[in-house]
Amino acid sequence: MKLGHSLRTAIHLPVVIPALLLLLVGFLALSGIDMRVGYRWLGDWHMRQLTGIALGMAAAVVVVLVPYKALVRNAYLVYGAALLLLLLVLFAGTVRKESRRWLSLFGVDFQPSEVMKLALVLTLARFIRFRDSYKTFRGLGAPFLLTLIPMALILKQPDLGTALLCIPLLFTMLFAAGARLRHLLLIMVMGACAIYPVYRWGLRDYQRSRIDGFMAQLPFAASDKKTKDITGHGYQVRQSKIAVGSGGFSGVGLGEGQAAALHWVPERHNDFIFAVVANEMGLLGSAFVILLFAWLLLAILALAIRHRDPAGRLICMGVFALFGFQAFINIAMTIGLMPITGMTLPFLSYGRSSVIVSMMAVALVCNVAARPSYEFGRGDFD
Amino acid sequence: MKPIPYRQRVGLLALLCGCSLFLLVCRLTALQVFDHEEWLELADRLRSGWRPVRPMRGEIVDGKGRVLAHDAAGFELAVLAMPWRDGRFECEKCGTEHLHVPRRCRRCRESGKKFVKRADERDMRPIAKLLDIRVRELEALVKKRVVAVERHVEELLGNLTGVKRERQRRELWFDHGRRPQRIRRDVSYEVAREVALQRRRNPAFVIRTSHGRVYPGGAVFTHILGRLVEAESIVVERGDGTARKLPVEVGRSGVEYHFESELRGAPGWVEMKRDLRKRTRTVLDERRAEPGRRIRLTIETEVQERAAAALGDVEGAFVVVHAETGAVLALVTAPRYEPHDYVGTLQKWIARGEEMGTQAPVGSPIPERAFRNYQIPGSIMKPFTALAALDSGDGSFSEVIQCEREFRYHGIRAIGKLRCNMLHNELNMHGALRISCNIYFQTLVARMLDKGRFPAFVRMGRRFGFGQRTGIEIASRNPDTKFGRWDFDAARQPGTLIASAIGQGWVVTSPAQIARAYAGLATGSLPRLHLIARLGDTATAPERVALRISRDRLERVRAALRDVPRPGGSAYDYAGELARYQMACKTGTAQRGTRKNNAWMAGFAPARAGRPPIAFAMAVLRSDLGGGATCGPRLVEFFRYYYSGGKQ
Repeated sequence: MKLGHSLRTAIHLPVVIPALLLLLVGFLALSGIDMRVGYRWLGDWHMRQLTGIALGMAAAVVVVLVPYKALVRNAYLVYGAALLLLLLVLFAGTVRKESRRWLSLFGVDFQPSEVMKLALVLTLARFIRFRDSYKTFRGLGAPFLLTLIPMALILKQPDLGTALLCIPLLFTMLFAAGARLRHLLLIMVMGACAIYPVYRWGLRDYQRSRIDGFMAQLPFAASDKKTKDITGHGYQVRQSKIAVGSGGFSGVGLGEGQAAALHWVPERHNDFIFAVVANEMGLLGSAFVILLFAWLLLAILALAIRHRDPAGRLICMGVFALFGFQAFINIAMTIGLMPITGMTLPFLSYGRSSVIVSMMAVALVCNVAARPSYEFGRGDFD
Repeated sequence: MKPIPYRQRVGLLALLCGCSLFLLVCRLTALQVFDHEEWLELADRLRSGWRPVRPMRGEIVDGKGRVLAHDAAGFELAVLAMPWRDGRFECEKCGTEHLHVPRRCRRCRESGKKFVKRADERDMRPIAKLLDIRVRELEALVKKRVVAVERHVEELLGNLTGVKRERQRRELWFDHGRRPQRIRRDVSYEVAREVALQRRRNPAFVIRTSHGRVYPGGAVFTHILGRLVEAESIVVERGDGTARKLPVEVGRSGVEYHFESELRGAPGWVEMKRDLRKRTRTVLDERRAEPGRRIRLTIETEVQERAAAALGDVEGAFVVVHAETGAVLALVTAPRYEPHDYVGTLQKWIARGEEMGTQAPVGSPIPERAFRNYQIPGSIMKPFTALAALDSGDGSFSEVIQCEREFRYHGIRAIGKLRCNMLHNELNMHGALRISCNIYFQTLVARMLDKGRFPAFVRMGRRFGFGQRTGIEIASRNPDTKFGRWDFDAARQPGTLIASAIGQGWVVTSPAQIARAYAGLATGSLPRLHLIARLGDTATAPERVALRISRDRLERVRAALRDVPRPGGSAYDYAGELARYQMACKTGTAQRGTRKNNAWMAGFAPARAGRPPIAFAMAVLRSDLGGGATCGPRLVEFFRYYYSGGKQ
């Protein structure tokens, strides 16, 4: 009875409804990835995704039931465990497509880097909530260190997309917490200066060629590069854009994408799931997805404003950054606005780790919403 | 700078979020609404494409329409220059690859010592055993392919240097090294199955289905039909400015080479909708490939096979032609090789033989000895010497010449080849032809030499086609090719010229030329030999050139030759049975300077038992015996079958 009551009060509808709708859209979009033509209801992909959703539900219930303050209190422990898992991946991880990102646990593969995203949100919230040190330039060192350690381990896998996601997450949380804008801007300028050396010497060949492919399809690129691009890594962006563009206003219809342009879109069940949505549901469907994300993000921000507890606010901001940047980067790369980084679209992309972590993040926000606090933050958190 | 209040900061983030999402919607609108048509066209283009269609190469059939060469699907054995990836461990149970030895296989969940490192060497032994060749031959063949891939990669690398070169080389090698390189075509289903079963243990060797040329006629037709080799790709254009490459095989020798343009046909193309796996879903448009033209040979398979069986495994040739039309009825050469055996040493041997022609090593299966291999003919030239003497007035049928076994020219005793084997005493021309007396014909030519009428001999030889193209379509396309030797000049020693009168000395000729000359002798006009009875819908018209020799003169020579297989004739002991078929023939034994002889026998026979009038020539090189003893029994065996209507 008490458990049921807790769960009922924990469901924060402004966040849960868009999340569930996004899950539904993703589930429908999976029909467009089957190699066989025609709509296949409850195919293999659907069943595996359903497993992920069920596991995600279970994990979300656990997250909701534990008070978020207890989670924040033990954030360093969670962080340490996540770091340990990241280390373990480097030695005992499963290799797929030349990346060592997965750990196998009781026959189920999962990505520790996904877990680390949530752990980082909790850890940064724990670290920042009652401090003022990050308002000085030197004081930014500690949160940066907390972020850079898992980033380095994730880059080692390599998983550039997830690693890069840690940066906007940190910046958003620091900015929300009241870090000086000039300090953050200075660091961004320093980062911008490092772009070329990193591109030249810090990236792997395939990562560099993805950037080359992106540059080649820009309007000002030389024509010979555009031609060359078709067979190179720019191939992915081009095929994705063809799928999106050919969808038109109302799309080709659910399950009809295979006969249209989706056959040629690589990783269409995963990183390019938005291309499937845009192709089969058209501008209406893709705008609807963006609207759902906007709803979700604004609901989280509204909660962040309304909530009085610094840790709760920071958790909301962290989850906002996670969903916001992940969705933006994924959709932007699908429609050719950004280079390909290998990042999933929350709730829509196929993948149990991604779905479970996304649902846990929503549960975390619900957890914050369900436990209003009357504590007042100091300084900028007033 | 005044710190921004919390609500404003969050408001700023909300604004940033809204702007970003608005940007996405704008971009989507541009893609899906404004540029929709363009992307839709690109999507359509993705789904549709065209590919060239290989034309069926024309069939080659024998005189009765039996197929001797046709295109068919089959299997071919290929080797991968780089069949494995370094350092991969493979699950013994399911074959899944792992970078390191895992605790459990990620697919079948097997644990324990079940992981084996992939073979890092090609296992030649089982493959060589399957192909029935030596391991060293297979190794050489594989090495050749691997080296070819390496060279190709080096060519592609060009002038790249340093790290870039290494990186590019690795990528190119990974790409090209895994493309199958054919080492044998038309392997049997059984071999293909075995190789496929060994694939996991021996990943370097793969079986591919192929669109190959099949030669059901076997070895007896190889030198006639020739063989195909892989050539550069041809470019197929569709007419809209697009073009595709189509790898084709072209003839390397024989009919396949000389009638390449007729046999190849014209490639077509097909435009289709296809899926990601390049499988055709719908055909949108097509231009059918035009198959090559059908070629019908004059040869009949059964006759050819029996002729080959009669000749046996000796080194030589046997030609049978239609005496009136010049159609080649049998064209046999030995040794022979199977058309599908292009492996290792044999391949090199054949290629070398093709290049070297008459200079090919002893016993080598050069493509043919019937019309390209010129040899000293021996006494089968004597009828033509007789006709030349009659033509110049230096001889007559009634003139009797004393054979003293030795020949003297202006008091000088000739030695060696110019002697007779036995004392013939007094002989007229009929008798000299019947028992093949050297002294008689040498005396006639010596007389012609003394009176300056030797050119009459040369002219007579030319009339009968010596030193000239026989007409066989696959002999040579090179205009500079010499067809034997019949270019006498004043610088030749008299001994050489006199020897030429009995087919020794300077003269060399091919069995096909001899058969053609005897066809002329039989009919009074010289036919153009031809192998091709029909090219597509066009039948080959027979061509004949009148010899302008009196009928009586020819008939008297024929009568003398008809007595050769009869009692008292030079071929009676070995080929007496030929007389039953009213056959006129002549034996010849040309000494090669060693103890081995070129054994010849040539002749003609009238139409009989449903068979057309024929002329024939058989040559057995490096024989221990004379022409009659070597060729006689072989010819008896063949003609016994030939005139029995195929019953024997």
